[in-house]
Amino acid sequence: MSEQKVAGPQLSRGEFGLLILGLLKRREMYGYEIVAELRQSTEGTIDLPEGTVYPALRRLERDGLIGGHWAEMASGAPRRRYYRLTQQGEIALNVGREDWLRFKSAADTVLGS
Amino acid sequence: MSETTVPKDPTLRLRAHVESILARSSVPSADRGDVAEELYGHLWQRWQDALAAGAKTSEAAEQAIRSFGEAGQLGHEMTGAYHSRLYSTTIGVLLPAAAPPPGKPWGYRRLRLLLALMAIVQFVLVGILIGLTPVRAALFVLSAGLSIALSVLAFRAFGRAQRWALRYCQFVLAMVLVQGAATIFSAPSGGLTIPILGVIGLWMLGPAIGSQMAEWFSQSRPIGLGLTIALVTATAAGYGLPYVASAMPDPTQVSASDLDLQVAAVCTRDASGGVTAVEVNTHVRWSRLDLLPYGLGQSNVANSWQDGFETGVSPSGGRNSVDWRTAWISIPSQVPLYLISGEPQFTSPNGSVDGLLLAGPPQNLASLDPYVPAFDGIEFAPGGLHAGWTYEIRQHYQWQSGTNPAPADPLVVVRYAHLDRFVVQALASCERSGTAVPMELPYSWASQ
Repeated sequence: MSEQKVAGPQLSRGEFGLLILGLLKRREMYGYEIVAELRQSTEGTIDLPEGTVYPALRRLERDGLIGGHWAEMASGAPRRRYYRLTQQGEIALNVGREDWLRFKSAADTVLGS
Repeated sequence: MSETTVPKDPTLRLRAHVESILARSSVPSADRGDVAEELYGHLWQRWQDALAAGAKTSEAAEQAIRSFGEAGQLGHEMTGAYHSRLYSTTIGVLLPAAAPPPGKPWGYRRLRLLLALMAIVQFVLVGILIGLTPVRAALFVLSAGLSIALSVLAFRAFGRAQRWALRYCQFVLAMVLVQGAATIFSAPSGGLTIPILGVIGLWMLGPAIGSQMAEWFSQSRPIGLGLTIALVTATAAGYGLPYVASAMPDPTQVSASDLDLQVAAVCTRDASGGVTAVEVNTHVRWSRLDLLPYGLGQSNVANSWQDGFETGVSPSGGRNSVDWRTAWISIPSQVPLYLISGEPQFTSPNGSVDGLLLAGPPQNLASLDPYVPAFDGIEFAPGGLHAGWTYEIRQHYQWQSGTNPAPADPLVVVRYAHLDRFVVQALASCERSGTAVPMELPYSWASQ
């Protein structure tokens, strides 16, 4: 049986997608890079099984929020598929961020003190 | 999840993990190559990073695989990325490949052939519904649809070593064998019937319950209680609905309670009190009519049963007696009763047919049936009846004085048969009317 990492906070599918959009807002990234960046940015708080990023990327791409392209690598390394945010993705990110902040503010009101 | 073989080459081990994920998913074949390459690229880089951090070759590969996630879960999530939630939780669970041992077990093709045959047979049988009444046809369509869908799904899942497909196949096989046995036992005594399906079933029985087959399906993951219940329900419905449909009344078809039939008899007596003539007056009224009584086809209406009506008076005036007079019906349009074409014509004593039907349009509503001994029969033409209309049928019976003794109180019997489905009967006597009640079937029209 493989070991499966379980993060402290449980991410919903939508929240995970929003985080990926947030990362891709910074620059184009490929899957491995997204996982590493997510782990580093959250100081390991969000540490999902790495493979779960790919179904999420597929969903975002299917919904037109991100676009992908292949890049050849030197020295026999496998190709990488880079993703970038689309215009529609930027809108979705802004809406999602506002929703999240509103939710956070509401949650802080209850839990903050 | 245990793997049957573990490649020693780390890159092959990484590729095997990718294949394992894809095998447990329903990623469209057009995308499988790209997805496989992307997942492998991730594992490869993780492996390289682990090597750079000082891990041994094989240990680095295992680290990469562990951190990537469990194949079954990732396969399921990957399915969800391409399909709806409903698909992911149903077909996506039933169809993924279960990483069976290499090669195909003994009888693999035979059992898949059985599943394919079942789907084809069900499809062909759909033709039957053209002659079924609407609700029965709808139930039959549902049944056939479920059976075809299950057989096709099981056919595909069987090829992917899903254990539920083997169980379904074993159930189908059991049904085939039971049906074959029933064919043998229901054969006429002294005769020998060889059920083809039963023979085919026996040919497939060995592989279906053999150890090779069980081993091949051993890597299949459980599909869960919910899906198991859904499959069992769909299977039961698929095979059971035709029996339910044939046993239950079709609400689109009329019953005896929809028919109001009243009979009145008015007698004429001679000076001694004996009855010399009876005027039989029958009212027939349908509150509703059948919807497509012969199904969508309606092609066999001409040769099928029609509504039949017959009247008898006891003691009989006698069809052959000189004093018998056939039915007559008056206003408004005086549509003549049609004799059955090409059949021996019934003739009344004076050589003419006096029957008339009080109905108005449509024309050719009824025909006189000459084959009912001791009864005067009328058949209503298909489509001639209308709901809510009252049809009045008057018949006059007369006993000629001196030829037959005048009865004191003759009994009038009126029967009405609706297609081949039910018969009602009303009894009346002089000054005593009667209402029709259902007769017990079987009822033989000609023999009564």
